Amino acid sequence: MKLPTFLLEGDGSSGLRIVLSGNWKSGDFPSVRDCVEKLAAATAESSIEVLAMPDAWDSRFVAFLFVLQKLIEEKKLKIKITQLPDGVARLLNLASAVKAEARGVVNPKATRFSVADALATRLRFLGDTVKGIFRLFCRRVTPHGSGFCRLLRQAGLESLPIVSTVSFLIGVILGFIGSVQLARFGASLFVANLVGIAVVREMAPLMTAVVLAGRVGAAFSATIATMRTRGEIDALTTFGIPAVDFLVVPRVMAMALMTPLLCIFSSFVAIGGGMAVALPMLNIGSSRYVHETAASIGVCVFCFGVVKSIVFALLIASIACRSGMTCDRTAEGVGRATTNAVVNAITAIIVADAVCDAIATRLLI
Amino acid sequence: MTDAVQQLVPAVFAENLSVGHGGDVLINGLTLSVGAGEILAIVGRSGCGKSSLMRIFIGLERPMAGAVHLCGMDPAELLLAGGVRAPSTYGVMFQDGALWTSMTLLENVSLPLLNYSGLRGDDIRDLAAFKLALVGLAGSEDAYPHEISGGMAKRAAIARAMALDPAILFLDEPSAGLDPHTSRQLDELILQIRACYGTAIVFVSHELRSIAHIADRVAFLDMETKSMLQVATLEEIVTDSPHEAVREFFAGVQVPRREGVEI
Repeated sequence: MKLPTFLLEGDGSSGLRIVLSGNWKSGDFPSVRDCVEKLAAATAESSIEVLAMPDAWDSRFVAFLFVLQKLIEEKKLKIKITQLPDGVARLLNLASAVKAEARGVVNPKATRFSVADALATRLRFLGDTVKGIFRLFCRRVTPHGSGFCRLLRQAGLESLPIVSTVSFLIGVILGFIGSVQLARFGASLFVANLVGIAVVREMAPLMTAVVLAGRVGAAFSATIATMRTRGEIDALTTFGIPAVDFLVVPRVMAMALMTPLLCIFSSFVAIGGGMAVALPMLNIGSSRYVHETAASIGVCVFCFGVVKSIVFALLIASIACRSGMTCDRTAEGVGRATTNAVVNAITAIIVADAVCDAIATRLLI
Repeated sequence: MTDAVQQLVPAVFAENLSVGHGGDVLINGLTLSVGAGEILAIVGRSGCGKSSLMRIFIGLERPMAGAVHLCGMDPAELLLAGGVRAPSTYGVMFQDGALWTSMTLLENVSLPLLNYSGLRGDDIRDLAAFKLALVGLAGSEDAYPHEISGGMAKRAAIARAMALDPAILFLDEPSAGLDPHTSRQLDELILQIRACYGTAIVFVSHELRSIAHIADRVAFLDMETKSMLQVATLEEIVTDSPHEAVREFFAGVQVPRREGVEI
């Protein structure tokens, strides 16, 4: 079969004719824009006749004519297409039936990010959450009992394996560093103090929070975002059940309850991890090590760690829920909400940690 | 409000309503009244603002202008108050049900009762199970929404919307995506609910057969004029509408004979 060809006929005086022939179903296509350029150069005439008689054609041929027509009309020339196969003519008519019109596009300036707005919406969300907790304690709304138990399990029990693994390894790492470095000063015994204080005060709250942000925060955010895209939150609203009371408050409370418990658990596991490394490396008795550890951790340090973990829990849960509640109602929106929840929560945790430490240093804890 | 007064107040009353998003107006100056126990169908071409109008009726969006009253009260204020009145004034069935997927059907119907009926424990269970049985879902109480078919999900959504015996029921495309048989069954259910509870029902639909079967009156929204072209009984709309767009929309619809329907 012949290749698709595009042929210019006639000179400037008697009008221009384009002949399209050959097999337009395969092979290389002439570029429609090149053709138009050639046309414009070749003629000063105001009307062009197109003889379209392909041996075979598919949608690409129709698209070629469609674009050709449009480009030529844009150049204020007249075009007349003749001898079209019946199907092509009908498709062209169909495509030209509704003229393209500019749709109203949201002005990007209107949705520009503004720090003041962002801060205001976050504060409002926080206020709603606090009001929701208040309503819960005033028994103005009935908590959904089984749902809350499920959240406690999700946030607490199901996080145990990953929290223990991470904590144990953190303990091991601290134990190694401590053993090697402190042995050089002959202060090997202080490994117990180093691991104990570092874990209880810093590492346990921080690592628990980071793990929970990834595990639970992401799940909270994705759940709420999906509910929003499915219209389940609208359904809650029309039943006069504030979505914040029903979705956010239980999650914030579940996290605030379970995170400190996990943090305490994590401290014990990490101290155990430190011990597992330090004992064989330094030849100290286990009872001595335990005694040193217990002596080094004061009540204040312990409480400081627990309080920090509660602060982190509130941050994780509220950031995750907020990003879910405000997501775009698209599949992509759910993904973005989840990413935001995790990234923002981890950033917020570390900032909050720094602030807490600064305050604690002032208070000499 | 006494029953006598309630009879006089229309179930749904929209006054000079403008619907739209941002700067785009979809409907202008819509005034509409739905009486107690009346079934109104909202029809129109896709994109003419039916769904937006519905969201305004149920208080999820604010109108650009004008006001809506459900049994004499503003829906958005009803919701903001978070009080008992909103859910007992109206119930909503969303397009694909929007059942709460983390809860069983029984829990879905129970939740509004738990929050607003003042009942406790077994009473709530019984009432919710009764509502499910009413819509033909007895035995599926412990199923989760993802385990049931589309038709069942719509029935469950109606049961949930009816949980607190509201005066008005809003249905968004009740028969969309259902086979003709299931769709007929749903129509019958809707008629039964109206007959037994005297609920006013406002529904959005494209299904001409459903509309012809259950609607007392039809409101036709038009994109071109951005207004409600006509609101009338189906018979008037089908036989002699003055508007070309309306006639075209309802071309070929048979008006069924109704027995004993009085408004």
